[in-house]
Amino acid sequence: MKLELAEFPVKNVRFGKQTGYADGILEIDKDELLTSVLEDRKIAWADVDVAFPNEPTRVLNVRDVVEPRIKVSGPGCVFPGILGPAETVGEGRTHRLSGVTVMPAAEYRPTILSGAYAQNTSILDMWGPAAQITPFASTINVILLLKLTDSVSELEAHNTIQLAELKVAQRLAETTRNRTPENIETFELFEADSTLPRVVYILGFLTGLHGPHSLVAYYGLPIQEALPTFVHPNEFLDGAFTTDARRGNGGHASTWDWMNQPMVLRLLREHGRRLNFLGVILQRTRFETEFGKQVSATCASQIARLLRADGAIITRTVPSGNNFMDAMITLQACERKGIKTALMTPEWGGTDGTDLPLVFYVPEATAIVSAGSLERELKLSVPSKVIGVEKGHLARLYLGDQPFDPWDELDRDGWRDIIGGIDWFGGMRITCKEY
Amino acid sequence: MIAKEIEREGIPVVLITAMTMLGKQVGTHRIVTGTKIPHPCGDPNLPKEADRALRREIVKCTLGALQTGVRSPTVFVPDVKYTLG
Repeated sequence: MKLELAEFPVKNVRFGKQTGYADGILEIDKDELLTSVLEDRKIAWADVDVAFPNEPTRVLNVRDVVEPRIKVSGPGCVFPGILGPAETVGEGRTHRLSGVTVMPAAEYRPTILSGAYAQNTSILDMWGPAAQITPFASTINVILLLKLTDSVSELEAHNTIQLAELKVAQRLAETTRNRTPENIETFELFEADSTLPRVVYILGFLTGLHGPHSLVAYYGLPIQEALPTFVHPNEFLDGAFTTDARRGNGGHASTWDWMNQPMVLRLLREHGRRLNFLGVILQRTRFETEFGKQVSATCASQIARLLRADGAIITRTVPSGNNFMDAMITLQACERKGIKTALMTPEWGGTDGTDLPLVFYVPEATAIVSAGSLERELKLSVPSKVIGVEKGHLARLYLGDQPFDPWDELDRDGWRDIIGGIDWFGGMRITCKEY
Repeated sequence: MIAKEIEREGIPVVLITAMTMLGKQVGTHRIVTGTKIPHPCGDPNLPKEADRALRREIVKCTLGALQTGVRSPTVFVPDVKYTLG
């Protein structure tokens, strides 16, 4: 399976008479785009705006992020199972518009009013301290503003927001179909030098069992109670993984993060050089008993052993101590089978970093990479432009929270309030120094 | 951790949890194995009477644990068959 990912960098986005891409400029015919978005009768109102890096712009009601990509040759389509049949992807050629995202900022009337399955949103600041911790302050973001009709169910809300963002992304990427890319990167798990260490990536991710969407979907199918399974890394690059578009909290990985999964990309790039990349074991985490966690760990480590892995890299998602136990127990199960492990995770530790950094550990966890903090405070200054909330209205990230004025300074008590603020997959640029 | 702080004041504590490994790790003295992480003291999926019996057994086991002297973190398992997974 060989995938060519062809890059079309976007240096500017502007509205114009015709949607098209040339010389790094993406022009968008707003009327055309909105007409197509409003074909969905569940959308009562829609608009499009753009947020540029370094400008004092704040975006509210952020639900998800995607990168515009389109399949130009090979089987299936980008976002298989949603925009086309559930056909195995990761082959042929895919075009991507890099440096630009589609970001839905949506509002709808909730029917789930509290708890883990209630809708939530996050903030994006294109400048200032919050811009340092998210990849989306460095991209030009096409903000798709949506208001859904009052009668939508929670699952319909997800479907409607997701379909709108994916279709807009597809339309924008379509502009590159007959153009020559600036560069092409090829990804393939070719037969590598057999003396290189065999490395597998165990990607743990939390999914829920009791809500309208489990949080992570594979080929459009929300993953619920599932045992570990094995996938080709190229599938990530063709949008095989999507998320719950009702829950835009920065503590979750967005669809963009799954498409640009930095650990998967790095391992693919190192394949045949420093290591022999075997593929990705998907491990649904947060089993509700220790027994369930043990079975899941047994299964994941056994797949790794059957692949004759020398080493496993383990990550997980969502700041839940419960699901962190799954990752640690899996690490232990691998080590007991003779597979060396390295775990990467952001840490707790409180606002000043002196509290307990990890809630659970096993003695075999001797190689841990920190991907930053879950709990640092953020002070945000006054923006000159706000997208996603009407003038004079208040905003909130979680139902039941005290609403705040988005035009004001903000004190937020965690990086998870910022879209892309928590780094689950090792993509961020921040480092720390001991002094 | 709350359990440890209360015990520091001389009041014995029993922690009912489905995460017994975590309880042992933080050094809780008396741990009772609960049903599931979201609902340690019963099981809403069971018929009402069965759930009632389950709850009763967990409480009985907990009261027994409270009266038992321990020297290190000890797990007490109620005499019930738990739903799996």
